[in-house]
Amino acid sequence: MNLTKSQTDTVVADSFEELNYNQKRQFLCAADEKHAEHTKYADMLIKSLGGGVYNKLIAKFTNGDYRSRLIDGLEERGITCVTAGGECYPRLLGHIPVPPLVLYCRGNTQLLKGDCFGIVGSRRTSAATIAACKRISGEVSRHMTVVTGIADGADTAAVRGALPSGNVVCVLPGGHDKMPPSAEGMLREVEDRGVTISEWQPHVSVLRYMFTVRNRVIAGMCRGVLVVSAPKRSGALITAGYAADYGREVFALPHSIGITSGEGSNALIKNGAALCQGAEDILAAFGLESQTGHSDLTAEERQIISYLRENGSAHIQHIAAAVGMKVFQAVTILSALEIKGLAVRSGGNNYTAV
Amino acid sequence: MLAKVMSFALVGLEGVPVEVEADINKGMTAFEVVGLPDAAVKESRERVNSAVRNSRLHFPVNRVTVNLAPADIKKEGSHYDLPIAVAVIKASGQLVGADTSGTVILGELALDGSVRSVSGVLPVLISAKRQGFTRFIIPCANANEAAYIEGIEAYAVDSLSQVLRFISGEEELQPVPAKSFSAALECARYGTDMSLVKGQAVAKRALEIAVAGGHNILLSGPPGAGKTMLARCIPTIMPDLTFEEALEVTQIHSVAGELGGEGIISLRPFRTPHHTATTASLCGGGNAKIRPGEISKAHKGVLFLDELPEYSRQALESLRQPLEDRVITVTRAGGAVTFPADFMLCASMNPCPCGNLGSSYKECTCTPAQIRRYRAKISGPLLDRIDLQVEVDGVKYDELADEGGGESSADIKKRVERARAIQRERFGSTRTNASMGEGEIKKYCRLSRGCEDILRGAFERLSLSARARSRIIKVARTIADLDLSPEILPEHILEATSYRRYDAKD
Repeated sequence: MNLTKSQTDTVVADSFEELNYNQKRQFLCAADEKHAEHTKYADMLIKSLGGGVYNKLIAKFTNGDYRSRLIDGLEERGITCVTAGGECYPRLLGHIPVPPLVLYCRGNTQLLKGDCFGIVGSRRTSAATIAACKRISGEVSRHMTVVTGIADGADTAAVRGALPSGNVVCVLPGGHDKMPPSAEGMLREVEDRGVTISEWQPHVSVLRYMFTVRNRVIAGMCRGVLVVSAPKRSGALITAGYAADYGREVFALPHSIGITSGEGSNALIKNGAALCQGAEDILAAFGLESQTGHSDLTAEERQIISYLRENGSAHIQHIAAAVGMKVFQAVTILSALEIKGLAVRSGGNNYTAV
Repeated sequence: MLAKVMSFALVGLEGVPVEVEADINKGMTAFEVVGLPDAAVKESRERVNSAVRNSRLHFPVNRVTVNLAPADIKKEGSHYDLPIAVAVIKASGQLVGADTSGTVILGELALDGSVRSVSGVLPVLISAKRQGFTRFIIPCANANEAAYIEGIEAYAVDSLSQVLRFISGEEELQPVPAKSFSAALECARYGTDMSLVKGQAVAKRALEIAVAGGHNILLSGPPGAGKTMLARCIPTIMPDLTFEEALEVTQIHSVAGELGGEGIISLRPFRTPHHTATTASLCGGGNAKIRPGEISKAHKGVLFLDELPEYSRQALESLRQPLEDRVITVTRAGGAVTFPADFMLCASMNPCPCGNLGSSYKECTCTPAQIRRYRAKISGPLLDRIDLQVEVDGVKYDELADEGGGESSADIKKRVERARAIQRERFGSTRTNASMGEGEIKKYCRLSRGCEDILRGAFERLSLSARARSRIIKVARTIADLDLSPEILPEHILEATSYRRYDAKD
């Protein structure tokens, strides 16, 4: 990890758990003797912390041993630090009211420089929406970096879609060491090809409020956010709220009436979010063009996919009856469509066009 | 005076000849049974005593000792009553000149001297015949078990006095008349038929493939979708039992004492142990007498495990080895017994804890983590042995009302038998596609380049786990057999991939 002195200063200050966010910023000013008003900041800190604590922190701050131990510990874990204002620090993230001082990253930090697009959604998401999310994520990732969380459902689908291109960032809700074992596998894959980032030091456990705090990072670093699915109360809606506050584009996938996991995203559309039907809608908003080349389909495949597109979701027996085939023949063709990524099984032998 | 009568003991399904010796000595009046008798055999003293008196015979008032030889095998069951009674009477000099050598006698006595049915007659007859015995005296109620075995003379009796008259030559008895198995097969009927199941075309097709290739199958669907009804139809589309198979099945049921009056089981068994079943009840066990478990009772038939995740983990894991080996060896302190266990496993489960995942009418309220936990109750190795996983849909009322049932079981059975014939030719035995090892898959399931491409695409797109591969190929082989195609074609692979839902990684 190549850090300049001031970057190391930031990482060290960020490691002081005694300090809150504002105090960390004040501390950095106070400790920097070249800063015009460093004494003023020092006085402020002494007032809020007490002189003893302040002096202890200053001693720790200048202690070479503590500094090298801290940096070595991070390096051992394969974590690189990207500090606010640094080369790789996401440009847009710097503009939000409280940008993280340090982003602890594992993976390819260069990705953070590029244009990012957030894809978020609920854990309970229907199979068809999951497939759509995967597909959109895949197409968007060819042009922009997909940013998402680590939850089941929509987040995982977004990661799975974007992984082949490697343009994927997972923003963690806590330290790198404290991720749930169920997500381990996926995170390893993301770290291989993309990057996982966290504004918390590796040893910090996840607490409930951190999810909301994390959502501001997703919204903050992205040019736009797509809400794949969201019930009435949902973390995805919080992300969308931040995105709107920061002036980012907000997209939402429409859902049919009566699906609980779609009520939130439909409400977003009602309130003025852009309705997204496919990756084209997103890319067009940023002046990018999607390249969708459909692989060649056989006559039967075309027949079935057009029936599915007309009817949305349909049961295998109805599909077979409509195109005049035996059920097991239709199963074969639907399997082929599934492999080509054009149809998806939405449970109970129902199929949906994607 | 000393008298000897032959009887048999059962160790698992194997019969061991037991000599029943009775000796009457001078001394205090006593009646002792020695030679490792269990409680039921010990109690036979009282039954024998009463039965003899109530048959208007004299029970000796001296010291009576009965020995069951060989003395080192535990003797269980009530079928020694009759041989003991005959031996005692003979020893007391009331049966002068009667010849009982070479005659195997089995039967339980009632206090009034009538003969009651016993379990395990068929396996005794089969092993005794193998060991050269051809004359048997069995209870009337078990006569049918002897009717299907050629080359023996079995005399069915209903009372002790009849046995004595027969042995002493006062009364002539006709041996049990032979019956033909095909006649039994003719008149045997399953209670259900595929044509009675409405809709469910996908599941029916999957069952046809499963039966054709001897694959195990998992039906997943919301409560009330008809999983059990479908499962009950499986035996109706399986090929008929051959006589040898029927004998094997009947022996097991005879040992378990579950044989009805018909004497031979000509229908494939369908067993549904409840999910509270213990490992011992599934696999077989018992301390003194090792009895066959559900998996052996399902031999050559179907073992249906309803609500698979509700079974205890231990019970499910114990199925893994018999699913591979097709036999189970139950080992206890008293010895080891091997029972056949060549069954087709059909399991059912809900798609998620609330049961509504994928339903078009109700919304599922489970989180992905709950669903994962629910499915994780079934271990990977067990899932590995289930080649087909298929979804059964909930059927709406109007569909129930107006849809035709479709093909009858007999039509499907014809196709299954054709596919089985191809497999018999391929393996030169009664093995099926499901039992292919890696080497045989390479040999018999060569994939064209097109098929390989599709398979690779399927793995990437549907994120299937690696171990699904060989099972998809095996199922594709069976589909090709049903299609009478010597090669596996792309459409066979495609159809096979659609029956593997629980292998997807996320």
